[in-house]
Amino acid sequence: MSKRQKRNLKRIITAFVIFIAGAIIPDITIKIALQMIAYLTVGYDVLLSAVRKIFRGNIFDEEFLMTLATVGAIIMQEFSEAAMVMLLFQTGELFQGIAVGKSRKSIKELMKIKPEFATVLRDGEEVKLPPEKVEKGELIIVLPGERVPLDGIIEEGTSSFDSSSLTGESIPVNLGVDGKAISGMINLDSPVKIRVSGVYAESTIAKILHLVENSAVHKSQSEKFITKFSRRYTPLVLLAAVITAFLPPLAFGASFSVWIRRALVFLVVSCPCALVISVPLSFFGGIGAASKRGILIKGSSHLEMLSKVNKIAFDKTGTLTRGGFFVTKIMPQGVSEERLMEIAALGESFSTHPIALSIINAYGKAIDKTRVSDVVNMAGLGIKATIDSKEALLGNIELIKEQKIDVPQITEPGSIVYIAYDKEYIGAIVLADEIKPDSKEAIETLKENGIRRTVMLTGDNMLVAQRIGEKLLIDEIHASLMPSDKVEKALSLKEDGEGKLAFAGDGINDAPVLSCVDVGIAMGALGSDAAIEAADVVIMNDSLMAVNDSIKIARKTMRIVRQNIIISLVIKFGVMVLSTLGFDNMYAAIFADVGVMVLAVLNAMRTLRL
Amino acid sequence: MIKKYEVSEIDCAVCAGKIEDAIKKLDGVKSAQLNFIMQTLTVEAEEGDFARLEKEIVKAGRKTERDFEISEA
Repeated sequence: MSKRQKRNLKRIITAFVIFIAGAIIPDITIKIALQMIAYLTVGYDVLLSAVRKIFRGNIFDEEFLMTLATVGAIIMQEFSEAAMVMLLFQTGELFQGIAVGKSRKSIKELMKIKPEFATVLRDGEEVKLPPEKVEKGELIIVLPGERVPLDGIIEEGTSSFDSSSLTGESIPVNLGVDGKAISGMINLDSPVKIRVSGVYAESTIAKILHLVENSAVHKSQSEKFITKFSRRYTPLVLLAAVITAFLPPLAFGASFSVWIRRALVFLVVSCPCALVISVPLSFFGGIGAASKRGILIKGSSHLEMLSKVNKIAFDKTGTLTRGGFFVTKIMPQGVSEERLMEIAALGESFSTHPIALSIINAYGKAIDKTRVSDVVNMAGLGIKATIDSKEALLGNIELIKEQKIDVPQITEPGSIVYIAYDKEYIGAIVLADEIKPDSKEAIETLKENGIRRTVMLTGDNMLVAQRIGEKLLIDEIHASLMPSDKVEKALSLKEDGEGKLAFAGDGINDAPVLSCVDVGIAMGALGSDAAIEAADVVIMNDSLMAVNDSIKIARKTMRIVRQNIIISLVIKFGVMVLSTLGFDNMYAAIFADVGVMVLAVLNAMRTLRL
Repeated sequence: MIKKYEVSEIDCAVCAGKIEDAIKKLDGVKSAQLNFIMQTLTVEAEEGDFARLEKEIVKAGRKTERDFEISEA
């Protein structure tokens, strides 16, 4: 609670005690005096500010309206009502302030991923600087427990890093020399030296923070509606109050005092606060909750769109699949699997071909390159090398056949590396792109959650596309598409029936599609600038499940927004209608008004925990 | 040029909207955004105008919120 809030709380309590005293004391003069003292204690600042605002012509202001309502009540000799309305109004304001402060705090907590400093090695000395002051190419030291301040490449040391505040992924990643350290990760184990690859403003963390902080720019339809509505609401209620006060008495000779009292009730519910505060708060909470899981939503308009998505198109490579070559099958013949992989890794150890790198990666053990000599790259065939002074052949089937070695033809989807050692065929390794481990579950869950159409758009050939599509139970497959075909297909999907279309891609070559659909989702964007630029929703980790999470969060947020709009409007209009019908109880009105505001704010705060 | 400010306690979202509108109408302001939840104000204007604008922004803000105050972020 801020100082001002504490002061207000004291005032409210004091005024409340005086008010109770007034309620108990039977003497009518003292009673009124005490109630007026309570009224002034709790409301003097409201009155003062209202007076000031009248001079500035700012009459559609809640303080002015509360003043009008309570002064009206006093003139009607409803002293206790006047005091009570002011008491509850101030209590509501106080509560609203506390609730908003609390949400602000949890949102700011999310923003705490900004690195505070960088330890730079300059002229052999360690200097602590703000990350903004570090230049490209400098060497920085990151100790265990510290946040990586800038993107860079590890030059010395090995450690594990916690990237959960970026990706929502709780399993730490291990990085060694040449590993890509990303700003915002926390170093867990041991000190590392990192060569900075770009200035702070270009760093991943700066981009993420910028994105989250500015998400309020893209206002949703609901927010725009609330803004427009609130501008007209207060004047309209005021007009209704004037008509209620004067029309029945003037036209039908009804009692002025009765209708003025009814009109005063209107004033009590004339502030659109509940809506104006709770709707943006809900959106911010929803966006905050998503960013906690590594899902960055660029604005509440995109969140709103996302909640309406019921068709999703996927890119294949890098989105449904991991993208790249992975060892999918090891088929040794006459040797152990272990031995086959060892020979393969040794033979490929001097190559930088993606296939070679994938094999070395899959082998995963240290390679003693001194065992390898006379490496010859045979274009279009493979590699010939001497391992432990015996000849090894790694490549396609032609390479082995050429040496008159018996070799079986293998039919497996993907690229096949046949391996012979010491004039003997010892087996083959199959490499293919691999479906991400959670892709199947993700597609299933999406379907359960009402996604009625799942589509794969890929530039790859039909055979490969079908194999993956069938495994994942994707509804439709469109293969062999040029980038422009993808856009065309996406546009025709967009036209199909109700609901919005989302496209999930890796953002590298999908930018045109990402921007032509209703919601463009960039996957696995950690470290990829292009993706962050092009998409509406950026998923920092690699998981397709996050697409489902983002839709779920969007829908829940929108549900809360709708609840708040409906509850607020129904209660406010309810109070006005009841009042014109004669249930003109000011207590009930202020209770309803403050109550609905509190309810709406509490409801909005639920989004923070989605 | 875009400058960002921290805004002192504004408790009411309606007021924040009004202040934002008022700031947008100031002479020389190209765009302005008052983020009620983050309590930040982003103003775009010519560099030379900022010294004058900062005073006018506070003045405009105080018409709605008595304690309105900005400080450079």
